Amino acid sequence: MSASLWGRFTTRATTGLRPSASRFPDLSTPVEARPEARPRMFSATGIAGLALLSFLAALAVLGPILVPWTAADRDFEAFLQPPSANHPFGTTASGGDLLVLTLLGLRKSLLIGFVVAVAATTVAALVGAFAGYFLGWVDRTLMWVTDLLLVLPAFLVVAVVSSGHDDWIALVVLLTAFMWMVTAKAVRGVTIVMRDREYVKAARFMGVPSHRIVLRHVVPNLASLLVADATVNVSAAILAETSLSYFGFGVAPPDVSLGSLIADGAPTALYAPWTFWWAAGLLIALIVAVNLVGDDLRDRFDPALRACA
Amino acid sequence: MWRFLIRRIVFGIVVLWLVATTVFLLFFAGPADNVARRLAGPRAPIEVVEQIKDTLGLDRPLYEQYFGFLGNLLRGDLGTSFISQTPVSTLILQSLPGTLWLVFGAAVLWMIMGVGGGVVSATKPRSLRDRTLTVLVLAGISLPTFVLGILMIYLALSVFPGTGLQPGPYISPFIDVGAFLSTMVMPWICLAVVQAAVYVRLTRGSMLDTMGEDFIRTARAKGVPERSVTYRHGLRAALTPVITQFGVDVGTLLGGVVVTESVFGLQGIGQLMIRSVRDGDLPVIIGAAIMAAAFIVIANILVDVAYSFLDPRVRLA
Repeated sequence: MSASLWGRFTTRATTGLRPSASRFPDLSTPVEARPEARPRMFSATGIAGLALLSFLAALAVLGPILVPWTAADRDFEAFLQPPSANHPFGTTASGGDLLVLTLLGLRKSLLIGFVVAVAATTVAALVGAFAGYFLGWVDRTLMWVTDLLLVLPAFLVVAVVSSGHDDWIALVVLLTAFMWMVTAKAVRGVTIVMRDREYVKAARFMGVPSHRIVLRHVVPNLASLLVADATVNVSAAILAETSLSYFGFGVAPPDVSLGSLIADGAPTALYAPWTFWWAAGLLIALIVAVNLVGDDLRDRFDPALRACA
Repeated sequence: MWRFLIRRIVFGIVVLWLVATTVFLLFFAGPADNVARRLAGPRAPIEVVEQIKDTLGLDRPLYEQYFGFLGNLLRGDLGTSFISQTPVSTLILQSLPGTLWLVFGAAVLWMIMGVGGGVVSATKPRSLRDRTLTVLVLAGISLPTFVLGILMIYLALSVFPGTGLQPGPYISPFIDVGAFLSTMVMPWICLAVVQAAVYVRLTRGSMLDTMGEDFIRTARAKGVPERSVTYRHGLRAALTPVITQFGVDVGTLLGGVVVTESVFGLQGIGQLMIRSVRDGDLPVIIGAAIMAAAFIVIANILVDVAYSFLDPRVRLA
């Protein structure tokens, strides 16, 4: 234990992580009393988060189909009306149905958040594993790129470049480009420890090509770390997307996101609170759900990672 | 120590050069017509596009433009805004005080709340106050800044109008302290709440690690009072990762607190950035980007120096 602080400092420059045996859940040792019991995947809060997240996902996928209105519909008999039987979430100043708009926004924000998190974690796994396994100039080059991207003001660059593209796929690519660096550094640190393990050495001595060792032996063994980090990245990605959309630099009309809805609703929040609170409430619920799941996974797999990365 | 500093400063300059190059390539690489069109915006008439191409010398070879750009940068000339025809450095200097006050005020708040909360949590893990703080932290990290900001404005204007707090542009405290405070208190709290949550978590984790170390046992064994063990021995060592995070955060935020500044209408670097992106005011965008990167680089160097003071085991070489 006495090495931990030391390790924290020295490894910041070299490995990014202190070598610790408890980094991965030891599946061979039973957690519970009975030897045949498998370790539980989630705690109570994790399950609550997962349930809320599933509910929101179902709402996002099915909701817009079930609502009788569409995003383009305008109800010319109801401008800026409070919630009613006809419009359960109320209407916008131009007569749009807020229920369908909010659900579509939830769908888009959720979709972008997940795609960005998965893509960013994939990039992070590849960059980190290759840098950590090969070391030398591969490592130096990849870490230079990582550090450079960490210094570039991401918001500014994404805002400028994305305002030239109306496509939400372009936004996903841009957000991904600025979201993989911290995870990559963590992956690199773990890989440096892992490259001296017996099974990696065995593969090397058997003559397995290096890139194959990285892809087949190193990356799969990082799964627990990657799953935990991907979840944390989901909430970061949702926050980044909604903030950009709030400023009008994210998803472009006719697409809506929770961020753009909140921006549209904010000026009327004082006297027409329904234009703001549904989107804001769903966004908070979504992030709470993702964070509950993410915290749980992180505590399980890797208690010290955040502090060092 | 000095060798270390010089090496880090040289390294920092190289990083800034790379940032400048990246930003330059991001905006200027590509056929001159495309670049001019992007700067003018999709609806600008063709004459404007031609004029931009002319004034910026976009027809010249890329390397010539690049060296011209670097030369100006070295002389501290960030160019002139397309929109207001003011030098970019003037615009940045005008916006800097708002951001500086916002960040430093909020930083004091979030360090008190974050480190305090972390220590309280870590000295009695699994207690009621630890669990309460855990819930508060979850709330803090789950509240998007712009939602929290709008919520605060809503509360200040409609529920508690008597407080006198209101959103508005930055007013120098040397001109009117009352107006300064009434516009700054809400942004300070808004920014600090979100940040403090991260710091409670970080401090708690780091404290729990540190309190299990040998030197803490030694301190207790030689009869040091528990209070002193916690603060003099434990917290001091536990602060190292907190300081790293603090340096990075302050450096990043000084480059523009985009969301908080806009929600509260505070005139700072973040607002300047938003405005310049909306107007396609390229010189201002580039200037702000390079300045933001410079803040991060400087903050990183300061963090490494701070290490050697906080943790006696760390020696800079």
